[in-house]
Amino acid sequence: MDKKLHILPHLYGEADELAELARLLEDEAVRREFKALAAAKAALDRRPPVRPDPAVLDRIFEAAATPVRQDRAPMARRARMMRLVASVCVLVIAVGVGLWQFLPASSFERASAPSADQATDFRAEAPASAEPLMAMKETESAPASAKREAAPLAVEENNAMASKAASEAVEKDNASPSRQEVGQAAAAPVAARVAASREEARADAEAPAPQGFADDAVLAAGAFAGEEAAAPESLAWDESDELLRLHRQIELLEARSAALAWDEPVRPLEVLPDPNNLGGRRGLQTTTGRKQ
Amino acid sequence: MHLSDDHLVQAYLERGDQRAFRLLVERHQERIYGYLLGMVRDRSLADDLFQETFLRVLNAMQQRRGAYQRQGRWLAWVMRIARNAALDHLRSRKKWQDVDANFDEDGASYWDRLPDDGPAVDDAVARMEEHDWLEAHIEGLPPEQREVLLLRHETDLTFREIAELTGVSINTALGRMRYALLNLRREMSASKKKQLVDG
Repeated sequence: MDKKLHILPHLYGEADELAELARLLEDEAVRREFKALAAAKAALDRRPPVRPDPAVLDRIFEAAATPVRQDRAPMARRARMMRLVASVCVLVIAVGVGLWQFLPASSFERASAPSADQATDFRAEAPASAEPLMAMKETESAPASAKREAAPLAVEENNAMASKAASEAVEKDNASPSRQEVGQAAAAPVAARVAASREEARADAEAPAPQGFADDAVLAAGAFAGEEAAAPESLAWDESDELLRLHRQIELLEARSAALAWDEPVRPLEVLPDPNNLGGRRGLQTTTGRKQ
Repeated sequence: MHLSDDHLVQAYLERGDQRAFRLLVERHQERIYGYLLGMVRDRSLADDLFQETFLRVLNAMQQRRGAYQRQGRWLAWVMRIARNAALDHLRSRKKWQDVDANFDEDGASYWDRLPDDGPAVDDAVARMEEHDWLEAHIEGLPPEQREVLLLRHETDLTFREIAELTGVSINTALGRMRYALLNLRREMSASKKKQLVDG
């Protein structure tokens, strides 16, 4: 301990080894400091004692005479009860929330999840319905710009598969018809008609369009849109005639839109071809003419 | 016959002896109140804190909470409660602002801020009574030094007990006390307060 710190316990009478104090005070600097500290201590010791207000003492003695804060025990008991009730409530709410979150979800998953048998049946039926599913899958998953390109490709792929199925059905006409083969055989006439319609559409597209009427496909699209509106709302897959007609219209639109460009100059509507008569009259029709 | 603090506490707790408790309070009231008054420098506030301290003491003794362990240090135990009451109050009033003993924001030491021996100090000293002068300079000490000085002089706790109470080492407590006394001594010499200097 520092000598200058060590003299403090001696100064305040906490160390009563006078020999040690005498040894410490042999140092002149320590002796000077001891005198300075003793003078300050003497001044502090002369301070008069201070006492609290007698009224404060009376209140303290009064409190000491009566049991202190008897109301604390019931309050503590009540607080314990409230704490217990709050804990039970929190537990019940937690359990309720847990049940509400997990039980309905698990039961829903059990109800909606396909069973293994159902999955197997679905795979067995897949070849018969693969073509439309594939086309729809292509168009639904692709982005908007890719959809327009993917749709005809899927249709072509569909047609190719149907043609192949038809040829295979002809080759296997003597074989016993399985479930898959029956489906393929039923698709054969459809495939033949699809191929014929493709030929027609290709020829139609290769025919020169009227000069300066490259935008006629737009009006044709409008006409087809009107036809689509008039078409039956829900087509069944066995309505081959309607399906072929729609397919042909789509191919025609594709062929005509191939020559379109975004930067072509604007043309008046009057010079555009009549969508109802692509090879003949031009321009807009009057209302009366349209009614006729 | 001089009864120790422990005997008085035992008499109050086991036999409900009100006189024993009264004797305890009267024996230590000056120490405890002197410390509290030195800390807050306001008599009415010191009265409130004194009452609050003894209500806490009674509550703890009767409910055996935080209890005094009868190790012959009842005063130190009560002083811990008094100190907590004072610090609670000072914290709530935000008056307990530590003063950096070395350098503050503008680079000036606390000691540089103490008044020198110029004429302004002489005028101030002349207006003050000796007691008030000393109290004012005790109040001007850094809080850590002031607390150690008050605990040692008012409550008569030993330096070791002060170190335990304030949670510092004994050397730190001694160092704070040394600086407090030297600072007061320097002020006495500077103010030419002959009565204080010479005793």
